[in-house]
Amino acid sequence: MTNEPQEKPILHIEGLNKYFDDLHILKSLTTTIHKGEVVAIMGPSGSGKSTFIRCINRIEEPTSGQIFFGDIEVTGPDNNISNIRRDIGMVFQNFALFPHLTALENIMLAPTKVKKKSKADAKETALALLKRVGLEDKASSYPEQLSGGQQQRVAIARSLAMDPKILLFDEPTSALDPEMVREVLDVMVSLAKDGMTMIVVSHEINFIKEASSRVLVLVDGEIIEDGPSNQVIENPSHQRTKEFLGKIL
Amino acid sequence: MMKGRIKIISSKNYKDIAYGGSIAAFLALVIYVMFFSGADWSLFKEQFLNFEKMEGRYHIFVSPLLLVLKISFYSCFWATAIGLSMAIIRNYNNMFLNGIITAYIVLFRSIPAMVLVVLVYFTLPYVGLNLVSTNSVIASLSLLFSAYTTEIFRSGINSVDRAQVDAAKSLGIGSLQSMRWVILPQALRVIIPPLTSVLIDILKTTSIAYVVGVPELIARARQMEGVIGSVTPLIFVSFLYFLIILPVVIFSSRLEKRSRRWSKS
Amino acid sequence: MDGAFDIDEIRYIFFNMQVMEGQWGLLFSGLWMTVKIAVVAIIASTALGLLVSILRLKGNAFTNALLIGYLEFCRATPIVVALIVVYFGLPFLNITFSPFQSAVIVIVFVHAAYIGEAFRSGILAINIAQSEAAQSLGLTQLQTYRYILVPQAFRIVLPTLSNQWTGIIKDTSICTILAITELLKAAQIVAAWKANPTPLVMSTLLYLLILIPLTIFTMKLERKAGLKK
Repeated sequence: MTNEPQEKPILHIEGLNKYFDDLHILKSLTTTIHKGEVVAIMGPSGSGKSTFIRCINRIEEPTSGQIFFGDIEVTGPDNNISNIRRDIGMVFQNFALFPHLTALENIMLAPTKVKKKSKADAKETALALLKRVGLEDKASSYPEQLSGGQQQRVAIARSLAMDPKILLFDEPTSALDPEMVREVLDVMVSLAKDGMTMIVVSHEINFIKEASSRVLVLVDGEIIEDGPSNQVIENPSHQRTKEFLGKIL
Repeated sequence: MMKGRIKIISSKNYKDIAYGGSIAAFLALVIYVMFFSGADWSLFKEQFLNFEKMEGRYHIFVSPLLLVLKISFYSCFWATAIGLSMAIIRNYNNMFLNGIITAYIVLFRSIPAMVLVVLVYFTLPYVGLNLVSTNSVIASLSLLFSAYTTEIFRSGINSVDRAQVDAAKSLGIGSLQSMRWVILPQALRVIIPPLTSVLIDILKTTSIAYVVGVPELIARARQMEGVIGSVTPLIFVSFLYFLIILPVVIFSSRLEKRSRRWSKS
Repeated sequence: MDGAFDIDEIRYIFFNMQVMEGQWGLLFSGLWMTVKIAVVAIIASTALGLLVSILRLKGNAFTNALLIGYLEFCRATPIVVALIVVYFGLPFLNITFSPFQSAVIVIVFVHAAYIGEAFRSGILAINIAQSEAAQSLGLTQLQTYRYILVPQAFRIVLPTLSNQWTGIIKDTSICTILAITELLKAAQIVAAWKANPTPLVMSTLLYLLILIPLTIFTMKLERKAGLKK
């Protein structure tokens, strides 16, 4: 029994390129992510981290390259991208909650409209998720009535409502006041402990040490470092990584 | 210190002059019209507000009123439907379709309503298309005002933050559903005020139907004017227009308040 | 007619230049009348609108109520109705206006209300600090309006203004219901006489020739203003 060491990866990215006009943002990125991994992506601003994570579910259209999500090619021209996106959750820097809907309605929208779940079903799930992120008492609040940290927790619950197989976080704490960072990170850590596959663009060193298993360092659109968190942070191999870590630590 | 006082006094003086001047001008105008313009005011009551002569004739306005409402309703419906569809199509950023839609907007924003109504009504029969006069008015108004509604819906859609679209996409919500459940509800705040003024414009523009022989309010008023020898029916009709338009204004301000609910606090 | 679209048939009906022979003179004199009404109305309504907006901003409760009433009246009154009242109704009171005068009076009266509202929101949009800064420099209030507020407001209201001016030109065609031979009336006269719609098509093209550039200009201004927001 070889205990299947080569389990099918959940995400495989092959030769991903992205140009904005003449600007070469992502340079032929190739990487593989397995189920249950929590991968942190670090790098100086302008290095292409956000573009990279937004290309994974094609919110940003890649210029060339292939992205495989399990057996499905995300970049395949015939695939219905909306169907694929249901299984790839995403949490944004600025929360992007729907301002005209309450917290509860925000979470219920996609399950009822996309998955055609019944209202009662969706509501039950949504309330459970709100409880999980510690906001069961905010169900009927509108986003504007919530703090940044609360909004981001609702946004996480909203993604979870679609039962995603992987969660993408695009700088989830960088728009938050410092005192609210912890409450969001706590939710993320508990997700990681539950075995959720996560890709997190973040410089939160505490989160990385605590929860992430692997760190990618992106500089000028290239992955210059890829390894276990401790190793990359304590003992980086690349000069650019050392400089960069020196600035943020 | 001195300078400051002088400034205050001088600015106050201007205000007083503006107040006093505007009131004086208005009174002067009223006095001129009443006593020196040669107008005979017993005539005014007899000719303009002679409701005794109108008695027993009000029912004549019922069917033309319904007709005006019908023309307005269908024109509003089609103008909104066409405008919304074109705005959604434009959102797909297809160069060819956008070109066509822009040409459509420029054309129908440029053509005067009166000209289009006359053109449609008098020329279509020559190509064998015999539209009832009412329908030719509805068609003209729908074409004209859909040019405006398209732009209203488009700027409403554009007013919604792009991050909202991204968030909807990331949840697997398709583009039409995201339009329906995420974008339009938010765009409504921006859309409703100008859309209301288009609807009011449509209501007013129905009066042009008079020229192509639609038996609407003005046509009836002018007939009656001949019969009773007084302009009162026409004054009554302009009052009716007020009555039709008022509910639209009230309705729209309510809707506006409702859609603002979530942005308060 | 067999319902098929025959290109020669269409040309014969809608673009029949024989019909137009000798008739262009009438059409162009109609166009001249349209231009005259429009130019006078545009100048007068803009001036009156400016006055209205300043009265609205400086006025007391009494003038405000009056001017709001005026605006609401114009919003709810179709121009057709107003034209008929002024031209056919006022003579009952021994007040008689020529068709040209009636056209100008009604169009100016109605559009000045809208233009006044546009100027008012333009002036309100200007930072109050501007007015304070100007007065701290020692400018009088009249000078502040003349040199600081009005030029800035003008830039803000230009899209609305140009839209209103286009609207005025379009509304001149409504005057066709009066005894005045403007462009549309001229076309209708020739079309009826020759029993062919070509003159109507030609007059529409003449309207478009004037109005399309204005519409494009307006849309450009609107887009520019929209981008700035």
